[in-house]
Amino acid sequence: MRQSGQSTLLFISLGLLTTINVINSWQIDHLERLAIEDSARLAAIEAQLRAGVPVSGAATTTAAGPAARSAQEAEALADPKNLLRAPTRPRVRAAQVSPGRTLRMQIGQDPQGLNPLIAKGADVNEYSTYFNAFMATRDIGEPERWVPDLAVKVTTDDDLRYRIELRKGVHWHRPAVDWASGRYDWAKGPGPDDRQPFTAHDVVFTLDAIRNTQTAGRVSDLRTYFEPVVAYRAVDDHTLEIQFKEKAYTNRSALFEMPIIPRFLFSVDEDGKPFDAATWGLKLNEHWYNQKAIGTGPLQFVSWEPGVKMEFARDPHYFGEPVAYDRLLMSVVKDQNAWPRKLKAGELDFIYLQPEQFKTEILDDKDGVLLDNPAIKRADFSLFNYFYVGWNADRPKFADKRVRKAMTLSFNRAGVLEKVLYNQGALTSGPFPQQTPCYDKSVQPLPFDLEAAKALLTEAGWTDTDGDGVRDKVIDGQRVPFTFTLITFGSSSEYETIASTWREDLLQIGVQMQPLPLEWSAMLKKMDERDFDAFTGAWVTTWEADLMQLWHSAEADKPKSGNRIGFRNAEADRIAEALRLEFDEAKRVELCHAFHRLVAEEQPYTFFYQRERTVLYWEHLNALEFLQIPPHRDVRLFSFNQPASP
Amino acid sequence: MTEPAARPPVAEDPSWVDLIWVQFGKRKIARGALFGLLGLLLLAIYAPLLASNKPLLWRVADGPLSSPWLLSLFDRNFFENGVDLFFNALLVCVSLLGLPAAWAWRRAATLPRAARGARRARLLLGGIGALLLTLGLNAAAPQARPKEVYPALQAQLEAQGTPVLAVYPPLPHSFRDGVLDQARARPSAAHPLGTDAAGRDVLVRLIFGARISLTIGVFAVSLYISIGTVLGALAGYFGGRVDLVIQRLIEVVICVPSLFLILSVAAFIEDRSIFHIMVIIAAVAWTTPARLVRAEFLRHRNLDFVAAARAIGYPQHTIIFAEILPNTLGPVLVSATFGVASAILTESTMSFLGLGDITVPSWGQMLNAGRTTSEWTLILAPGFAIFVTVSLLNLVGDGFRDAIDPKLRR
Amino acid sequence: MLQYTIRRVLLIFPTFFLISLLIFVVLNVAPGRPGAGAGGGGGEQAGQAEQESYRIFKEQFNLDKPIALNLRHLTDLAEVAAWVDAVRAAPGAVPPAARIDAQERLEDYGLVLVPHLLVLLEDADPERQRAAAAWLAVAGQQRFQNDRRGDVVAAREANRAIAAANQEIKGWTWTAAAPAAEVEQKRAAWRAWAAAAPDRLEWTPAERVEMSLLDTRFAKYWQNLLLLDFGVSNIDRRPVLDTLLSKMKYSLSLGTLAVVIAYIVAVPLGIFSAVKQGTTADLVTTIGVFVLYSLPSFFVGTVLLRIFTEGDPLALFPTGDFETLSAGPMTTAERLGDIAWHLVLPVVTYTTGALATLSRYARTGVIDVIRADYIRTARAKGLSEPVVILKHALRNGMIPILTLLGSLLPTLVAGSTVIEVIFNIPGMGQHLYNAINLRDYNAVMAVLLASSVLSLLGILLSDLSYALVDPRISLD
Repeated sequence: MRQSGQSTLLFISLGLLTTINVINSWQIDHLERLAIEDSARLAAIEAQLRAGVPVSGAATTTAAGPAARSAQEAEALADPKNLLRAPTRPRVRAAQVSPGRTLRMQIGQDPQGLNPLIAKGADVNEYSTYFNAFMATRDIGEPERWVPDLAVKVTTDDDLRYRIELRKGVHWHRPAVDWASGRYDWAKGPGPDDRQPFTAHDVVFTLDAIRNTQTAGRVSDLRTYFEPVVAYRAVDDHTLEIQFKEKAYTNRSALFEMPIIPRFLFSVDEDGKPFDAATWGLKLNEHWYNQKAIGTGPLQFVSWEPGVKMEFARDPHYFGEPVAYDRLLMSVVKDQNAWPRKLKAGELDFIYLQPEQFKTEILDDKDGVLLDNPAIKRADFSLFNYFYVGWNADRPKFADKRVRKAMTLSFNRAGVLEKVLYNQGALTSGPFPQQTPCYDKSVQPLPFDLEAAKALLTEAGWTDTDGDGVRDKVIDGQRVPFTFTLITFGSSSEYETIASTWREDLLQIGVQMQPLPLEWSAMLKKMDERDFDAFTGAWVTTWEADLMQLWHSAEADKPKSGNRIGFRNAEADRIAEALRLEFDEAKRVELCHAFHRLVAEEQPYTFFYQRERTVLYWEHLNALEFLQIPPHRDVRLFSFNQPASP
Repeated sequence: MTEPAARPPVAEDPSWVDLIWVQFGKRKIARGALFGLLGLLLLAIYAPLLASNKPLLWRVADGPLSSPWLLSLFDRNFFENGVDLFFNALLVCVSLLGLPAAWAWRRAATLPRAARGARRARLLLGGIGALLLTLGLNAAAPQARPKEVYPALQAQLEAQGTPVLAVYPPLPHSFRDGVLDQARARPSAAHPLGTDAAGRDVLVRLIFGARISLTIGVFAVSLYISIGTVLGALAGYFGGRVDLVIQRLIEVVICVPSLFLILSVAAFIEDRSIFHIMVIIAAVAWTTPARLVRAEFLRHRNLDFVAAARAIGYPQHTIIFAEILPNTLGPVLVSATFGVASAILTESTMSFLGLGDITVPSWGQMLNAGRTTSEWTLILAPGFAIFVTVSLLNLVGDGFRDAIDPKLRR
Repeated sequence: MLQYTIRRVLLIFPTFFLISLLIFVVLNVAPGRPGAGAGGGGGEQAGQAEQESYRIFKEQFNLDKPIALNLRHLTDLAEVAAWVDAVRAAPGAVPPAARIDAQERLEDYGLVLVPHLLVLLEDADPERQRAAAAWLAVAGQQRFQNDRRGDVVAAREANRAIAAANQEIKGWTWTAAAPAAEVEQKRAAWRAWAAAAPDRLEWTPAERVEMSLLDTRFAKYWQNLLLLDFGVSNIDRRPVLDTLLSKMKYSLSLGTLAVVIAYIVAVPLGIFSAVKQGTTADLVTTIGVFVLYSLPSFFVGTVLLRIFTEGDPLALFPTGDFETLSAGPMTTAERLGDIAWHLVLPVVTYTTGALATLSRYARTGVIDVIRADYIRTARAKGLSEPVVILKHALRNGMIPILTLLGSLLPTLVAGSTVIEVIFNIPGMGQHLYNAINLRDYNAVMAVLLASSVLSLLGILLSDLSYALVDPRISLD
């Protein structure tokens, strides 16, 4: 009896304690919520104060920017010798600015890092346009036109020596470090928010970094363009001179589109101590700030948790037109299948569709309502790339252009594009993006024609003499059957399908093809060693046409070069060299067209298609615009219909 | 079956294997599962008879009657994979020799024990010989002609008014080549489980996938059982320094997280084939049989009969292999059965993560395709295939364990 | 007991050494080039500067060294001459694979080439002389010392001198059109350079043995490992240990939750099944557990995702992730709730796998004990059945299942690759998967080593706890 009384007491007191605890937790939770709300309010006020604007409206945020921008710039643009010209249209209209909004997008994987000089990958290149500014950018209306960015004036007499006048009053973003700790006080500068000024010395530092062979990563690609640089120096804080060894059209874009990193941050270690001159290139590769971003662009870096998310915020001191929203949140969603679900759940503002999803969401969508929600819209744009099949010209079989042409004719490109890739792209016939004037629209892709292919093979001496169904020919005194191996990119199932369909068609014309799916590194090894018959590949292209790396015969003999197929053609060499030296747009287009016709005739590649992408987005984003030029998806242009609901 | 009644009364003791067999036979579930496995094996062997786009019989107008299907069985351009060629050879051998062999096997039961063992060993050797012969003939045979697309050809000929006689297997689809026009079809009469993104019939791939899974399971396990048995026997018999080295090795391999290691190694091999996958699995899993065998040896090493054998002057290898090794058979058999199940699971995990052999129809890979397309048939069909196979193996393994050691029965 | 413990703990170190050797060799022997397609060039362009940069990259990650045995000091003159000729041969004369191989060797071998190259420098063929000088400028380069730890100031000082020396010898090469005087002057410079420190280019047998064993990738790796330096990732150049630790919290929370739940469900289930042994209820439980045991976790995960997240039929749970990212700041309670909501499906998937094993163990344990004499005695004393089970049987029957906890330690922390990939949880399993796909050797090594250490500890714990609770276990 006594025992049970004790346990009753125990239970009651336990119950009481639990109740108190619950109430307590609830109260703490409530307090926490209040604190969060307060700090959010404070942060908002502080942000507005920092922007130098009285606590009021939003549209005025832009007021300070353009006015300060135009004084020096207007004068520079008035100079007829300036290579830079006024933009045809602004990137953002002030009326679109909606404060309080966060643009939420997904990324499929983490970038390698955020130092645009070190981290490799198309993604880093794209993100660096968010937080970085460049010397000059291509105009979004007329891509041939270079418009001022960090440079306001570029002059040259001979296209060898360039003199660059930089914009004044530009500051680097505030590094995203723990300022309160006091450890980073050395990074404080004289500018607003303790920012450091951007000067010509930063550009010189960047050029030093690019030319230092200890650095590795993206600089490897940049270095090729800056190898012909003879000298460069900062004349004063805002003037720069750079001299190239050879005249080349590519010099300009290399110079204008080079990512720039701040000297005050990247020349020192985490305690502000300068690196040793002997090893600073190596230090830069592993710099403590490489996982964060700094620049002079419209968005400043806030945080990045690998595998989870990356955040940027509008820079209130940006010299150009600010972006139309406050924050940019990029969540890492590795599983592409989750993208449409997350869009639908309102966790994202816009997404890319994968070809498979394009099929389910759009082609199979009977009612025409995307994701069953009328507020979700669709936009499409074409990327700067092309997919192709490369033929090893050093192999006797494919040395004959008639054979290569027969291969192209036997490849049902239109069928594959429609059935496997769901028409997410356009057939292409040459190495230039179809949106650029360089692409000669009069050159049509070859048709799918097995009979013509048979005729060409017979003409080239390939006939079935022994009746085994496979064509053969005597090469170097030996009878060889027409069999070959096609190396495909193994990590994607699309290629498996493509290869197996093509094989069926090739069998019809008496050719045996064996697909060999390989992973990228294995594929690269085979290509470096020229140990292949044919492979599937893709190139990312640019607005500016340059043919030296892929098509010049001098590259054919270099190991590990871009001319993997060993293409050697005197006329192609001539065009490639002429294009490097030609600065006149009309003449450049002529040269490109001549080259386009040449490859259509020679068929060194079987040109396949140029890929398109489809984006789904909520209609609270203004009609999305995608640029003709990379990065086509320019989040700087995105804006919302209405400000955030409180 | 009147067979047992016809058997003459034998005075000899039933052998240990017979005892286990009888014990096993008493367990209905396990016996059922064993039949299930046998069915699965037959399904894998006779896969081309169920599904092929080559007609079993083919005649154009009054032309000669032919069987493109039969020719395709040994066509290295059609069945490129060694696994398929092996199973095709098995198909031919089993069809031709299966019934007589089974009859002879049963007949052997009436013989006295010694003769019975010899007869059965001869039968087994003969079977393996026939299989090797078929494979050899296949390898020596000239490359077959490039295949024709028979359904298309038939349609074309019929459109011209030529009568065509064509008899197809029940599922007239190839396991490998897709038909672009039928990509991602929903289940229908023609495709009971629909098609995948490349237009390949899901059911057909599922059936052919059984070949891959069974091969990987059986071969990987045979491989590691061999390694493990040899090492375990050495360690257990010799003891001392040999034992120490092998023990350390076992310890090291056990401590490495096996799936992590398997995935890493698989990823770093560029042209992965199922051969690589089997070797990787074996390289990680050999420790279990090694420990079992070692323990058995330690237990038996000092028993009387071994001492006796040694005293008589038997050479060491005879002692090891003739006297002690048979005793380890039981536990090893049990762990092998479970091992096949876990090897199949490992392989499907690998191919699910895209680290398998991408050129073969693997269940894990199909399930991953289901995940990317959210297609129910593509998720459930391969999932159940794996589940059923693994369950059957586990049930059989349970049955063996109970049969061998009734004490272990829980 | 103490002695046993100490011995077991000490044994960890040699075992760990062997494990690291095993993993290292296996990963490095598997074909595939580290750094290919990732960091450090070796990719599209191969200009002069790029070649140099790729060489430095290899040097930095010790990729220029052989894996575990360095026999490069046995290289003879004929071999070196053949490589030099292969690299400078006319296009098409040498297969590209052989040319690349020769070039890699000339870049990687370092000082051992110098004596042979000095001989080639005196060759009759001027072109060969020129090539020899060019390769001397590569092979003669000294490595920088590590200035991140130890005597940093001295190391920096030394590095400055090394940089100056390297820069100087880089200049001692000439072009094909160079005048004879310049050639002669530079050759003289090389001779003087070689004569200045002759002992650097000669190796005693002892030094050769040392070089064979210690100038290898593994030896260098282990030297760093002893200082807890796992190296930096060759993808993002971040210390791999930092990344690893930041991933651990995700795997740990998922794993702990799943294991706790698995225990909470499995133990009563096992007891129930054991007590009702032989009844229909036992049969049903056993079959259910058996089914769970045979279900692959990737299948369970895929099906759960399909059922519960896509809105066809249900959209009850989020489609993955550890927590909601786009939400604004949340209070602790809200955040915990959010995480819990995200973790439901992964935990269920995780639990189904662990549940089967655990409840089987629990059942076995209890059955063993129920049959034991002292339980029979307890029953005979007239104690009621629940008391017997709960007080006597349970305490002893749970020993095996609790010692099992030790062996769960690695999975607990390292997580499951499959589940983390399916549910997009940025834990260690997913980290390994990504590192594998990016060929990030250091990161893969770190994950494998870390989980091996955990395995070692887990096995140790489980053995020790076994020895503690079961006096019958022999300690020797």
